[in-house]
Amino acid sequence: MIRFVLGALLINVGALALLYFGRGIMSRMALPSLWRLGSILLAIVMTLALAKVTLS
Amino acid sequence: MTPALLWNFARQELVDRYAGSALGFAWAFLQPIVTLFIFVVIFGQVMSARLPGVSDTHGYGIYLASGMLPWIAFANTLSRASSVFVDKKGVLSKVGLSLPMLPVFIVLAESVTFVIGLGIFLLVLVLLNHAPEPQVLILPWVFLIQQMLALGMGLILAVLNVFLRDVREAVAMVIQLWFWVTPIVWAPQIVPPELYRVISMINPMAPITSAYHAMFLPGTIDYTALMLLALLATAMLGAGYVFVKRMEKDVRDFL
Repeated sequence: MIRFVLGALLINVGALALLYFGRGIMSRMALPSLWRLGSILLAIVMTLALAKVTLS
Repeated sequence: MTPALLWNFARQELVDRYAGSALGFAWAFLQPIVTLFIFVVIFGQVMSARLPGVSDTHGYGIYLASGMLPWIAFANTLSRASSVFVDKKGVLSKVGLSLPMLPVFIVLAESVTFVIGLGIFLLVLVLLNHAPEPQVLILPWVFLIQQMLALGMGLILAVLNVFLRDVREAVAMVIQLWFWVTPIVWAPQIVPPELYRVISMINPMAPITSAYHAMFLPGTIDYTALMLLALLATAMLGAGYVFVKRMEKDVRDFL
């Protein structure tokens, strides 16, 4: 459980930091909202993969 | 649209919902308390409803509540989002708000209501001396997937609703049907396994609801299905965003 909590914190804080600090770069790309969505998807999938390994 | 403006809309949505009532925002707490009372006490104690394979007296009540609370958030988000442009046409005609971002306030408002309901549900579990499973830790991500799915579908339907007002009524009807093909009141064990496999494949809320059940009652979560659903929800939200962007001018002209 502790491994999941720490790992999930790391993944999601990393994703939030990517969204916050990378917003300048993302806004210059085509369809920036889709890039943001991609980052959110990556964070969700990584969190679920971590849960599969640590919680089940 | 700034996060502050979205939050302001969400707050207004919650305030308006109980505007004019003597108890005001207290209704946000009273409604889930009564719902949980019906599920846990009436179904568990009075009607002695039992869940197949679970000996706990309150098993069926917990099963109902853990599926119903997220379903209410999903159904409300979908139905409200699908008519948001028509409902907010007064504001949209005066202020140049971003159309794809506008329904996000509905997700925020429904999330607040869900968190209140979930808090009360967890309190009831403590009173019943029933500990949730460790999988409860993934609840925020499962909730995020279902709300992204609701928002994505809501965006597409909101555009269609501007041109064809029947969409709102059709959505209400489809949500009712969708509720009954989702394992909320019935357990997957009571239907033939082949049929449940088909339901799980065509109904994205089936694996999501099963995941919620496994957070509060013994069971396993299909993580692969959840990952695929995360992909589907993101694709739906992306498609909704692109669709609204493409139709933005027509929507504004029509409104």
